[in-house]
Parts: sequence; structure tokens; C-alpha cells
Amino acid sequence: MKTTNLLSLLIIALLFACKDDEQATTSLELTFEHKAGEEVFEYEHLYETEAGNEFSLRLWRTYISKVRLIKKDGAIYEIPDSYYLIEPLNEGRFSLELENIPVGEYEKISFYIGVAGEANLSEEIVGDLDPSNNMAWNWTTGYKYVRMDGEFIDIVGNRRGVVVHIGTANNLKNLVFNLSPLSLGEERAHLNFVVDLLEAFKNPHTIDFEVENDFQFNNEADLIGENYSNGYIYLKEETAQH
Amino acid sequence: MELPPKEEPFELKAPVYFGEFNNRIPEDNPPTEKGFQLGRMLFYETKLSGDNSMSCGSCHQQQKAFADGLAVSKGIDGVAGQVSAMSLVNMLWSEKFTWNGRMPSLETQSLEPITNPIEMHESLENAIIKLEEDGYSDLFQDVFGSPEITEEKIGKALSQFQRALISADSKYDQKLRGEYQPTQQELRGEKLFFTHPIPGQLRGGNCGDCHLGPLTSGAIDGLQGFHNNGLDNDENMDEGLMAVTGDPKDRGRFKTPSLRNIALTAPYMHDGRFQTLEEVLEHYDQGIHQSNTLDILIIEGSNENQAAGERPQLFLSEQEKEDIIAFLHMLTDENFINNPQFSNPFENENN
Ligand code: HEC
Ligand code: HEC
Repeated sequence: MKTTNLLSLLIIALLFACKDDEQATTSLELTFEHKAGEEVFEYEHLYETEAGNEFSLRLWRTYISKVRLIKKDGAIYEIPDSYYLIEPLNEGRFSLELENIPVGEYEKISFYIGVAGEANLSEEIVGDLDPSNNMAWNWTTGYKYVRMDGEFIDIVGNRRGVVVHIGTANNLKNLVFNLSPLSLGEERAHLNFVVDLLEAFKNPHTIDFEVENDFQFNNEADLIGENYSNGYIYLKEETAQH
Repeated sequence: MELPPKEEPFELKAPVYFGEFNNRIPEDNPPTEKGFQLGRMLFYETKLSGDNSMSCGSCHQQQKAFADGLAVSKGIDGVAGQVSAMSLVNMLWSEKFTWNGRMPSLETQSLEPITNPIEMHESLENAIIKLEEDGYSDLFQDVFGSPEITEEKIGKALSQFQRALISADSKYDQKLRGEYQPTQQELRGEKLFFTHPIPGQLRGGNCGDCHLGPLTSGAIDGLQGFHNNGLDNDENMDEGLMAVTGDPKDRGRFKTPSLRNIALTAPYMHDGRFQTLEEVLEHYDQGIHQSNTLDILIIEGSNENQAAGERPQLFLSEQEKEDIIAFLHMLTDENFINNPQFSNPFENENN
């Protein structure tokens, strides 16, 4: 009898030890709905900018990185190697799963549009960074953060390009979203973001393709960078379970 | 019949700047030393052709970076095809094969030339009988664990050999690894090649917009790597990708080929229309034909402000064109074209 008691004590002690060592973790799903204003985004479909240009895209990709969850007391949990290449896949949606997040109540989520940190200027393959995808320039300039390849017909009827290849440090933008707060625990939580194409071309700078339609390394590229720092990605919905 | 002697332990090796590739190898065809060697024999095996005169290696010659130096290739019956033999290189970073992208995998593309009437013109049944008579069954046993010779296994072995055709030791690679100090001209050429021009601010050749990164080949995902680079106008344009998708927007779009070893693979373009790299540069600089499907990356790539609707031109100087050509010569990889592991095993036997 004595031995059994000792044994069960030992087991309980071990169980506690385990609990202490391994903090309970959970996962969080992020979904990005690609839209053009209110419409679900589709390739090769005509949309109208604030300035009145009708245009379509054949490629649209956005890098986000350094995803962080922030607690009320300011404690930050940063998802390791979090570099994600977001693009409209299934009916404009793109989903990703953040794993091993410590359970708890989070007040904010933040991430960068662009490739933050040293990885941008290296050939390292972490997360969705890959020098053979078509987002890389080279290692002195790094990755394109936002890429749109498309076209529009100008007022005289000419077919012209819409080429948006935005990168470089000044266009790296940190976005912070307030949560209600979000309690991450047993249930699978989900955050639903919208990426709005049309926001890249307005607010604060209204972009008119008749005037400029090629955005790479020029001042106009930085205007788009400023536009996408606000309103281009917004949080639509948070749900604590599925 | 025996597999050629093992020269070095077999491993697919590529620089990190080519990007991840292990996830691109089909799960049902993992590369092995023996599979590679069998694939190499089949690649140079003339028994796979109708009159035992031609192998893959006839049109894909190692000294020419696995192209054949002809504008359009002729098969065993002397009938010319419509397109130029492609250089076989770094195909792990490609998911659509042939100029118009109709082949979804290396495995399927590898069988097609055998039966194609204007290429090797042999039925797979006959080819298999000839291989059996030649004693290949033992080798198939060694590689696949069963002696039957099937088309599937032939495709797999050929693909294993071809996936190993990795060229990553050109002067440009040596430069990237810090082992070679390029000349001023080569450096200027590299920069121009990869720079998208901005009139008045940045001079560029715009090549890297389509011939991406150190691989210098097209985008891998979906059909993004297919472009109309302005070879023809709407009236006389070849169908290209449209033959596969049926979509008029895809007319005249072709696979963006790797430019590795480009100095060795003249003549150029899908129909071999340009004899020299100088002619290629003239084309991009001032020979673009406008059409409904001309790529926007060409329409929007000029060193001068052009009026909308004007025929796109790069406005490169003679010096700049020569610089870009100097960079293209940096992509020649002597070790690749002389690597004994990729050579004809039957010729070594006779030596
Ligand atoms: C008669 C000359 C000829 C022979 C023989 C030949 N090829 Fe080709 N190969 C070509 C041509 C021409 C193309 C381009 C085809 C097209 O675009 O329709 C090509 C394209 C290819 C490609 C596509 C490469 C890419 O990057 O998309 C592969 C792979 C290939 N051949 C492998 C082989 C193999 C394996 C064999 C032997 C079984 C072979 N070829 C025999 C002429 C030949
Ligand atoms: C809009 C995309 C695009 C741009 C920009 C571009 N290319 Fe190409 N390139 C292609 C495509 C697509 C092909 C194949 C076209 C065909 O054969 O129909 C090609 C073919 C070539 C070839 C022939 C390859 C072979 O194996 O025959 C060379 C050489 C070449 N390009 C060099 C360049 C250089 C140098 C530049 C810059 C001055 C450049 N390209 C700019 C898309 C592009």
C-alpha cells in the first residue's frame, strides 16, 4: 500500500512538473479576404479607382511579417519566422495558421506590410521568403513588399500597364489592430482581415494612372507605400471559436 | 548490361539563392544514384527511336548546354518541327514544360519525344521490347525493385537524370559566392540586366522583370512565367500559350527560358529567329512589335518617357547593350557542359 501511495504521489508530481515546463499553447487562424471596395477581388476583372481609371490585375501579392500578439500588460509574443506571402487564392481568400501561441488574453495584433529585419537583405529561406519566387529584386534591394501587375485602357484608348512593385525600408509599414480583447484558449480563434485593392490608390494620395502607372523605386512608389499603411488591410471580424 | 560506375555519391545540390527545391521533387519519384544513372543511359539510348539513330542527346547536347544549335530541330525522318530545342537546365525550378507550357511535369514531357512522329518516332511498346532485348530489365529491377519496363518507369528515370542537370558554377555564381571579381563591364551589365528603368532616374535593361533572379528563368507559379516579349504583331503571331488555354489573352505568350549558358545556345527564341545575342538586344531595344497581348512589363519598360501607345523602346546606348551581353556571357558554366556525370555513358564505354 505504501508503495502505491508513493507511486501515485510521484505521478502527480511528474504531472505538475510537466505543466510547469510546458506553457499551454494554442493556435490562431488569420484569413485575408482580398477585395476591391465592396466586391470580392478577381483577376482579370475591371475595377475603378478613386481617380476614375478602370483597370485589371493579373498578379497581386503582399508580404506581411513579424506578426506579434500583445497582452494588456504589454507582454509581446512574436511568431518566430513569421513571413507570409498573402495572395488571392480561393475566392479571393488566403488563410494562415499561427501556432504555439501561449494561451491568454490579447489586446492587440501587429504586423508589418513588407519584409522586416535582416532577412530582407539575405538569401535566407525562412517562412514564405524564397529568392526564387517573383517577389525578390536582389540582396541590395531586397524583396518587393507589394506587387501588382495589371493594365488599364487610357482615355485615348491605349493599352497601358499598371506596374506596382513596392519595397525598400521606407515602405515597410507597421500595422497595429486593437482586439476586443481576444481570449486565446481551448477554442480555436480566428481573425478575419480584408485587403482592399482600391485603398492602395487613395487615402491620403489619390493616384491617377493617366499621370503615373509605373511604381518602382520612384517617389510615386512611396505614395502608394503611404496609402497602404492605412486602410489597405483592416480587421473585419474576430471570433473566439469555430 | 550494367549501370555506369559510380563516380561520386549522388546528391542534388543547388545554391540557396536558387530557392527551395526539395519540395519540388515529386514524392513518387525520389532521386537515387541508380535512378539517375539509368536515366542517363536512357537519355543517350538510341534504341528509344524508330530507326535506332537518335536519342534525347541528339537534340539536347551537353556541349551546347543541352540544346542543339539549330533554329528548329529535325527528327529521325528529317521532318523539321516548328520550334527550337530547349536547353535543359535547372528544371527543378519549373512547373510547366515546352515553349507553350503544355506539359505539366518532367515525367510526362520525357516520354513525349519518343513517340512524337517528327522527333524519335517510336512506339513505347516497341521501345520497351528493344530495351528488354538489350538487358535493361535488370537495371529497372535495381532502380525500381521490379524488372518490368513500363512507360511510367522510363519517364521517372529520365526525369531523375534531368532534374540533376543543375548549372550553378558560372562566373556569375562565382561572383555571388565571392570567388570571382567581375570586370567593370560585367558589373554594369549585371546591374542593367536586373534594373527596371525609370526615365530620368534609373537606367535599366528591364530583363530581370521576366528573367528572374540568379536563375534568370520565368516565374514558377501558374502561368506567370509566360510572356509575349514582342516578337510579332497580331497578324503573324504564333499561338503560344493560347494553344493550351484557349484564351485569346494568352496568344503569343511563351515560356520565359533560363538564360544560363545562353552564349552556347544560339539561335534564339522559340523559332530560333535570332542568330546572335546582339540581335536579341536589338530586338528588345528597338525591335518590339506591338500587339494586343504584348507584355505590360515591356510596355512599361523604357529609359525615356514615351507617349502612351508609342512602340515601346528601351533607348539603350551601344555601350549598355554590350554591357548586358558581357553579363550574359558570365552565365556560361564550363563545369556544367563538361561534367562527366552528365555525359554520354556509351561513348565513355567505347573510349
Ligand atoms: C528531334 C529533337 C529532339 C529530341 C530527339 C528530343 N527533344 Fe526534347 N525538345 C525538343 C524541342 C524542339 C523542344 C521544345 C518543344 C516544344 O516547345 O514544343 C524540346 C523540349 C524538351 C523539354 C522541355 C524543357 C523545358 O524547359 O520546358 C524537355 C524536358 C525535353 N525536351 C526532354 C527530352 C527528352 C527526355 C528527350 C528524349 C526522350 C528529348 N527531349 C528528345 C527537341 C528534341
Ligand atoms: C516581358 C518579359 C521579358 C523581358 C522584359 C525580357 N525577356 Fe527575354 N524572353 C522572354 C520570353 C517569354 C522569351 C521566349 C520568347 C519566345 O521564344 O517566344 C525570352 C527569350 C529570350 C532569349 C532567348 C532564349 C532562348 O533560349 O532562345 C534571350 C537571349 C533573352 N530573352 C534575353 C533577354 C534580355 C537580354 C532581356 C533584357 C534586355 C530580356 N530578355 C527581357 C521574356 C522576356
